[in-house]
Amino acid sequence: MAEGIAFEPKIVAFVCTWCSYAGADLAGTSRLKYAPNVRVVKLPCTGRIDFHLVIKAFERGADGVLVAGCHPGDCHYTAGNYHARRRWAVFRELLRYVGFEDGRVTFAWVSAAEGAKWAALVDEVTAKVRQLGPFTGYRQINAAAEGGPMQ
Amino acid sequence: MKELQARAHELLASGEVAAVIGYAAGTVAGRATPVIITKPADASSLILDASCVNNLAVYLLRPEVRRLGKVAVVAREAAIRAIFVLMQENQLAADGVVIIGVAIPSPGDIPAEPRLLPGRTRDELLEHLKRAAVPRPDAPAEDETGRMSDAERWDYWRRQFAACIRCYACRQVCPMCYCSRCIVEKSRPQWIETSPHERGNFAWNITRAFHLAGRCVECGECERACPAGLPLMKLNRVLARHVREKFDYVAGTSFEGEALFTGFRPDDPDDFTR
Amino acid sequence: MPLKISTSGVAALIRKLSETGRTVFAPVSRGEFTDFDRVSTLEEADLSRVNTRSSVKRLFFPPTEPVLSFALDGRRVALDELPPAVPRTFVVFGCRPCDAAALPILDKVFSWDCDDRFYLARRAAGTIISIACTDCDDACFCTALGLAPDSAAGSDILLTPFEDGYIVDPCSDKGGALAKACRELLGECAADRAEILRAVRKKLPPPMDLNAIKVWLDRHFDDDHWRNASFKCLGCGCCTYLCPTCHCFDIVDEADSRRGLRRRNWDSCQFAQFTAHASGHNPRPVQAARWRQRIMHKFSYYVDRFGTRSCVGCGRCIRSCPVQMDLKHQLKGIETQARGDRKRR
Repeated sequence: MAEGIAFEPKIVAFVCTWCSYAGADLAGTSRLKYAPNVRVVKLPCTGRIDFHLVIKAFERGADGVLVAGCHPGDCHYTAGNYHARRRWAVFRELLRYVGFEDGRVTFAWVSAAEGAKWAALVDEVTAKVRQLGPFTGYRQINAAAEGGPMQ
Repeated sequence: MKELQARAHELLASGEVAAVIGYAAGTVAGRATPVIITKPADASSLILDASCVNNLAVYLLRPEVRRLGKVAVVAREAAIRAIFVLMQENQLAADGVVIIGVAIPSPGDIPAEPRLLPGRTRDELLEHLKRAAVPRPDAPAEDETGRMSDAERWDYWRRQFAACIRCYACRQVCPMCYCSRCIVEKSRPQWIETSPHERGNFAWNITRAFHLAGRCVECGECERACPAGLPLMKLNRVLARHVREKFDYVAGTSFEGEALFTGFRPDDPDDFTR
Repeated sequence: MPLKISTSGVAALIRKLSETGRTVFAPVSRGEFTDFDRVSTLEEADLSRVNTRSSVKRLFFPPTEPVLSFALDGRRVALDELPPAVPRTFVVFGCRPCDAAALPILDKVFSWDCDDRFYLARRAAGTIISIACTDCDDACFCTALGLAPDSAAGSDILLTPFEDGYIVDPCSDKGGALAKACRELLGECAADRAEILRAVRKKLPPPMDLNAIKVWLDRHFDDDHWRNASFKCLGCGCCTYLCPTCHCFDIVDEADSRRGLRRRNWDSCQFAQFTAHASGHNPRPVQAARWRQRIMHKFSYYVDRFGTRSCVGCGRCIRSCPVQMDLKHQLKGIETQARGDRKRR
């Protein structure tokens, strides 16, 4: 990193089309100001999220990942978010177990009406990841991968 | 052992099964090896002792075995559970296999002899699983990573995964890994890099651990097979524990309700979402 | 009079090599097994096991290595052929004669239809100091293939354990040069090699009739034998990856939208998708065909192509196989059938 430039985290957000993306859209049309650090990836439903998407985001340089979907009971596809929630409950334990810091991955429910919540959420996650710092663990893994055979 | 041989003989002679998958004496001293027998006379080659460690359920879905028709399999507790998971996941019909349940005690257990389990039907074997307090294979005294900080744990797992050579022995010995095309073999796109560098290894091992959550029966074969010494059972055990604590779910012990990630409850634990 | 070096002489040699900028690899303890890693002192090495878990081939043909880099440069693609990542010169200390003998076998395929500059650069830069075996285990079978616990093939210097050190046998120009460069560490000795190796030779198996085996293999491509022999094989890559002579590899590109690396990675003929075609057809769709390939490649095709078997009897495949696909046992079975065939003819 160049000297004098403070660390700005890269956050990748996986959001569902029907609630969270719409909520993010609402934040935009409402001209709410919030941290510009998030890159949004739109999926039909959180139930579609495979965890290699989350791993891939970290491999490609994300410092934090945000996953957002419809509130339980409100899923456009009825139950996708229920399935997602179960998987998240287990997957986050796996990530914590291998040393991901608390706050690198955040799960949230954001409805289509919750533009303000989206903005506040992104600000919160950005601040948290900024505080955690760059994901040096993954940087090291990437560097080792690019560095040629381990001799 | 005699009881096992007699049972195998009976199953083959009566024509109830086309083959029996069991253990025979290995060519390397002190190690049993998997064997498939099709003739009643070969039943006398079956053995049952502490060296019989392989999880034979792994053979049930292989095309070479499926082609034979109905088979019987000598199954230790974890293998019985594995077969139940396969049934729950619709990979085996409820009457698609004859389970020859066996108990192989660890040193100090009473009784000390390897023996056939009395149960024969699925429900009898389920009952046995509920009642038996069988010790987990290779259960460690404690997991030393529990005392580490996040950064230390990261370093620990980084070092472990760095040694992986992507031989996929862990996957091939696992009865639960039966996908005809594994996620790592899919190249459009290549989600998990096949290269045995740190990044690819991390993605592989994390993904496989997660794909086994709620399905792993903790037989320990993956760790035993791994030529690089990865402590894979640490990952499997911790996930099994969380699954049990959060969802009261233990793989292969019940046919009530749905599989862990097939089902859900509106009141599933949710103390972590914003 | 044969040359000798004491253990403290070896320690001094390793120190001297490290200090003059040469990387030294030696077996290092990893708990239940040993594997090659960099050392700067003899103390760091663990020479107590029959052999290392994975073979010395890793140091010449690594599990993964980048061979090409590419990047979008405006509207062009800039290609960069990468140099092989080689320590300037390096020494492998504590290799076993079986592993060393694997290197000339690999040399043939890596300088066959094209010169593999990655592998060959490492071979040129590497010096092999082997240690003869005074012990073996149930899985070892180098002698069945015509090798020996003190074979010199592939070694630059062969050390044979003797008293408080080793007998030193330079086996090549490189070895001779190294011995000359450290002659102050060498002495002379009177040693009875036969006596030193008597115990281990007793334990090792007798030679197999490899020609009869090849004849049988060439005549029995379509034989039920393969289905029975391969039943319990689960198709993992343990045997092929730990084998010092197996050399199949895959080429992959790992890239994002702007740049990437082309890599050469280990691959295994035992993987189900190994021979999968883009059309969907797989000429080796069952494990029997894949297991047959392994045996045929090592004991027939390689002989036809290069005049040598591609197996050195190190036994790693036997030790590491989760279900005991015992190659030695299988070869003996084929040899028996081959002899039976011959009698009948």
